Amino acid sequence: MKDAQPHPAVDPGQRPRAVVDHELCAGVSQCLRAAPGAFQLDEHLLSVFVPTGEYTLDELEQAAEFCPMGAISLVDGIEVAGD
Amino acid sequence: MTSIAIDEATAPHLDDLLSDQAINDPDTYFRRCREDSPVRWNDRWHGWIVTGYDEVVVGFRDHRRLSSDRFRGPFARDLAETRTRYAELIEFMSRWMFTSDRPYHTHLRSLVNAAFTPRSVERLRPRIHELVRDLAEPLRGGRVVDFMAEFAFQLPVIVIAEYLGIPPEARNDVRKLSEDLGALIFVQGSSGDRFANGEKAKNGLVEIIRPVVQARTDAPQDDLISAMVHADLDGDRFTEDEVISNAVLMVFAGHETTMNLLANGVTAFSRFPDQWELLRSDPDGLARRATEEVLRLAGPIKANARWAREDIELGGQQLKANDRVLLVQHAAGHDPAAFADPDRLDISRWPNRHVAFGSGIHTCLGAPLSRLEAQEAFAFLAREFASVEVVTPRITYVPNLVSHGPTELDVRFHS
Repeated sequence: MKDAQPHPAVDPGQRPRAVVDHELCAGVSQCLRAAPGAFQLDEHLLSVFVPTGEYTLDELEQAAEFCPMGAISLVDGIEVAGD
Repeated sequence: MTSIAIDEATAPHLDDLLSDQAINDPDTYFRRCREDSPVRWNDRWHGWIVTGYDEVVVGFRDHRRLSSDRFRGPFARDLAETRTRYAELIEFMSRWMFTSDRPYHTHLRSLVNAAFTPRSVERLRPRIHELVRDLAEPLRGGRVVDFMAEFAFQLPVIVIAEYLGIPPEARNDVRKLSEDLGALIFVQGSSGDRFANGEKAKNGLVEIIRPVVQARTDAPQDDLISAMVHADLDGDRFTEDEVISNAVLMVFAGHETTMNLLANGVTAFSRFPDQWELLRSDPDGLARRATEEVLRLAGPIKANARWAREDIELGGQQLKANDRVLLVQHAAGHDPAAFADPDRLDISRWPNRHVAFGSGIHTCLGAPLSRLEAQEAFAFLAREFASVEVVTPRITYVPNLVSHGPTELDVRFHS
């Protein structure tokens, strides 16, 4: 994935987060089903991650796996105990 | 391509979507449409032809107001006569996700999506590489080959049949039946023959696929039909008929389209030999961008139809409820407002936000698989062959509104 955007820096211990690459996202909206609290559509009907939303790590992983465009990645290096 | 001044008196009528120019030189034809208006009323098709990039993207994303449902609205009227005679076929097609709206679409798409993931597709890469290598054998020796029959036709049907879990001995039947079913879907109109052949093809494919579905219900294997049968999203599951319908959809949808993508790619590289040279300099590194660029320049699907559920404004035009709308992906990829020098193949073009796979909730499910097959094929062929020469003197394209692929393509690969 040499064209993926760099991940923003994240403090250890923070909640798991995702990034949506808008070069790849086509607004298929499968992530909204997998993790309804974590994603919403912007004015172009493309998906954006909502860091303040209600979601679990499982849901985020499913959203990333089911994205047919491969547009969602989880921010590296996050291990959340007990999530 | 050199631009040719068009004599208004001899240029084909802009309303003729099946004119020689529209079919065989869509770059020019849709440029003329776009220059007239990016959202243009077409009296003959009796609907709006959308050729501007921004308008096509908006059209694809606005699934709420622009319906894909072929069994309601203005397209349903075309089916009125056939509806009673071919009730079972219509019922079968109504379970396809690409012609359904929400909420039923969400049920189908989410379950298929859970089975058909980019990761499960990526696992096919070594096998696809092997198939490309074997299928490329007859292309060697500098002889003229029928590229469709020898290569482009073979790869996608083998890949989709293996991925689904269809037994190898059924492959030849699948190939023939999926062509016949494709003829039903991709062609306009509703002549009786087309439906009769389509129904026969559908029944043939169901006969092949139903036993596979039933076998996988009790004994799942590592294939797509097993994954579909056992997909479960919080208790939402497929019925057996839905698995069969959508497996049939994947067979024909993944077959003709990828075949045409491969053929259009070879045609494009023959027109732009400098780009073949460039690809040869780094086949693995450039195959991904090359594939996206072929999709933009000459994708296998020209256009997709929708209809307006309510009055909407698009590209400065007022669309009325029940109007037909043709979203022309090919034209969007050639809009100079979105792509510099749009009629030229440039495999270093990036980003390349073409809409060859559509956009929004109906974005092509098979996109990752189609991309993978094309990447592997273009990279392998570029590594093996110094140049590619189309021998067919004047390529003609299949005369329909939806697909874009050559009727025949004789090619010589030079080593």
